[in-house]
Amino acid sequence: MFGYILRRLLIAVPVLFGVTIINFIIMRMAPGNPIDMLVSPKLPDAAREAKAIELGLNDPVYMQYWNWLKNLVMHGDLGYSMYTSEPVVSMILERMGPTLILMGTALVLGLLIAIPLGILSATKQYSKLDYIFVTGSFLGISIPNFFLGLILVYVFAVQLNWLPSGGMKEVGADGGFGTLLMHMILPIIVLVANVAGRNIRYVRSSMLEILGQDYLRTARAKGLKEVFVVNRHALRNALIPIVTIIGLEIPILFGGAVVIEQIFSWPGIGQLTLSSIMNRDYSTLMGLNLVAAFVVIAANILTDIVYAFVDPRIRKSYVGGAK
Amino acid sequence: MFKKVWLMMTVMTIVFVLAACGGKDDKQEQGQSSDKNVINVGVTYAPSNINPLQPVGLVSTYVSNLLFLPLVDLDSDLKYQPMLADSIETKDNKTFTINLNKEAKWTNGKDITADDVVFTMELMANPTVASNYAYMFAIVDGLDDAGFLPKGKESIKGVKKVDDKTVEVTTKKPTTLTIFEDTVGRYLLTLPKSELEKIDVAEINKSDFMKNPTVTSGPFKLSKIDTDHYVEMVPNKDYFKGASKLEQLNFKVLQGNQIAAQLKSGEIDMNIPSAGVVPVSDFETVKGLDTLTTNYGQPLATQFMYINEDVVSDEKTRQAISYAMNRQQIVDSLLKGAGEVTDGFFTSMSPYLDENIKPVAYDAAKAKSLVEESKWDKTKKLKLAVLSGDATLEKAANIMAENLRSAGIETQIQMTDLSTLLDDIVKKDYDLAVLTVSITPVNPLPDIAYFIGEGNPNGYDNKRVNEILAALSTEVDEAKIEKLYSELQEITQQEVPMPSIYATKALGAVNKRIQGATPSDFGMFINVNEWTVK
Repeated sequence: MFGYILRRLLIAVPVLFGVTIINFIIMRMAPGNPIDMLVSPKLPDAAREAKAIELGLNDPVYMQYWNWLKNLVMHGDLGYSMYTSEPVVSMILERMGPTLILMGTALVLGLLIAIPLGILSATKQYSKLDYIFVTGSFLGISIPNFFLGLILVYVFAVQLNWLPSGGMKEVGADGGFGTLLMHMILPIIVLVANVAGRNIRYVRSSMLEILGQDYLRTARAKGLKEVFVVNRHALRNALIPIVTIIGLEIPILFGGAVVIEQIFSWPGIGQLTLSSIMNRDYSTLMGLNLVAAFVVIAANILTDIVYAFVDPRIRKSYVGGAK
Repeated sequence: MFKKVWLMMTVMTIVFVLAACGGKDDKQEQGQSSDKNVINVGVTYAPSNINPLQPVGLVSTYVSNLLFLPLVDLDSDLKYQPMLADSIETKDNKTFTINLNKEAKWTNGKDITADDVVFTMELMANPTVASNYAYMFAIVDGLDDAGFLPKGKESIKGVKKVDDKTVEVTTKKPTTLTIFEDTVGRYLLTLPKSELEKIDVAEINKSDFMKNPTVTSGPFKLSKIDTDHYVEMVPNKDYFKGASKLEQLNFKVLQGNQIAAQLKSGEIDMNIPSAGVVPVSDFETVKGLDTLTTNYGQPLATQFMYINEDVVSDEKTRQAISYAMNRQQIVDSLLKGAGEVTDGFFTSMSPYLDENIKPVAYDAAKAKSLVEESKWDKTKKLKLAVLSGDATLEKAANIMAENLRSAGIETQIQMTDLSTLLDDIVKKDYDLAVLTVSITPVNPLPDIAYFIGEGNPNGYDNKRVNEILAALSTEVDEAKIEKLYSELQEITQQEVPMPSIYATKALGAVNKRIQGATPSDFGMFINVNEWTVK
């Protein structure tokens, strides 16, 4: 098992390296550049050259990548934002917290709703409850985040004035847990609707598949109560594919933050990503991309490890493979 | 099982309700700005930095100016008001004497002196600093056309300290006082030499001082900044023009569609018209709120159409484009009266607009016949690149495309983000491109010279226009300047190198509890230290 994890970690290094190269190439192929955004086009070439030198954009492109990589490997430094002159590392770290709070809460709440409702839906298949949950789940998936977000803002912030329309705290105030909670409600509702909607269906179908298995019939035949049949025998097996889904959820939430953070002015990674793309802030984009790639790879490795823990068959195959 | 699930859902609902209630109390305790001696200003652009050597964008400039005073500032009547300088004078239009305010002090109590001014000018002119505003100083003797010092030089030939509170600046060519004030006067944000001289010039933009300046001169001091979201400022208690009585002045970065909502809820108290843009669709909502006083700004932001003359080389085709566009329909139907028809470089707020030259009227028949005369290939499809993100402009582009199609010019609209559009224009890789430009009304020459002067991105070339631009760069007699601009307007209306379509009047709003503040694109913060809350 340990050997397997180590192998996965070692493979992750060249993958990350490859991702940074591809990102760098695509980013540089995109039209526009930071100099156009920083220096008015009406200025003489000398002004553009001076800016290019200041930003290190006068070197050949491969050298720029090499310098970036060298800085990263030797000093763990992601450079400075071309737009704000702030260190990229501190910009990302500052925004990581808000994103994690929002995404983590949405994931946990989403699953807390999805798993019981999914099970209930499966055990009461074709009942009214099942139809309600499945329809609700479809609604959750189908309503675009931005649309639901804007409706919620309109109703709760503009019309009723119950909740703030955006941000993480009142400007000028220090904020506190209560303020944070108030600001979180609307974006969390949008994210939870989506996460729960998606996962109710997964849990339901996974559960349905298990409920038809022979060993459950055996369990019932030996006189076990239905509660134990569902919770002990069915749920534990049904959760195995769900673990994979949770692993996939993490990068999706990380990416989905772009829209939600923009609508709700949430000071997280998503908003930083969008503004960096619009401004062609190369150095910040490289840093953000590295973090995103890391999150995807880490979530995958974590899923595989958890998978091995919940499913003895897989654990066994890892051990076999490691030999 | 069923019971358990319902129990769980009930518990969660209770938690949510409690959280909401708890939050409500918290909010009441803390209060929105409307309960406090705080003013929150809504802006729709992020203050990417607060580096006074090179602010990026409008909001960065506003914030930098609140921390570090310019020498003078342009007010809403387009007159210059003294800020750090008491006055700027010239007798010969070449030597300009800057008289600093005798009371002017840094927040550390030290005098703001001529040494600070000279030091800051040298920093701005240093190519290593690569200031994006260095070109504003290109008029100064001893600097190149980009406003940089020649290699190896550290001091500027045309800048001299006379005494502790007086600086003398000599320009390369005769310059009007207005242009001097609009460049050096407005864009030199004097920095404290004592704090910055110890920092390596190559590191100055990345230095802590530029992120969190500890010694400043303006009416407010930085308290906290999150560049994509807000800037919190507290009054400079020792401000030499009188300290503000506010507790805080904050800028809050919002999406355009949030401005109306937050003005209504009191989360923001006011906006900056052109930097906290209220979408036209929200105009009625904002004007209908009885907690607010609203006003329209002057027509500033103008939509210009770049025409690549390599593609549209015939003057008649360009005239056809201008006649084909139903500008009045765009203004009437899309701007709800908050704008005006334009077709040149000047709007009605410009002192140089020749009112005898009327904007080209919509004439579909004439456009059609001009297209025929020019033998334009009607099968050709022009790409019409339009800046994305402005709903009004997007709709206007559809009207334009339809107008042009009726005249016999086929176009295909391409919505493009700013960076791509600028890149295409700089590389002349476009057919037609529509972009919003705000030309400084009192000093339009740099923009006009870029649009139609030598090496312009339209590929337009006219000897007389080049002569006029050259004459304008040295002319100091206002009557002659007006005449030259008039001639320029006649030529550009005839040859249509780069027509404009319409100019918008941005909506400004301020909560009635605020006294002394009027939203305006120019000079809104000149008297910020006198703003109070009822």
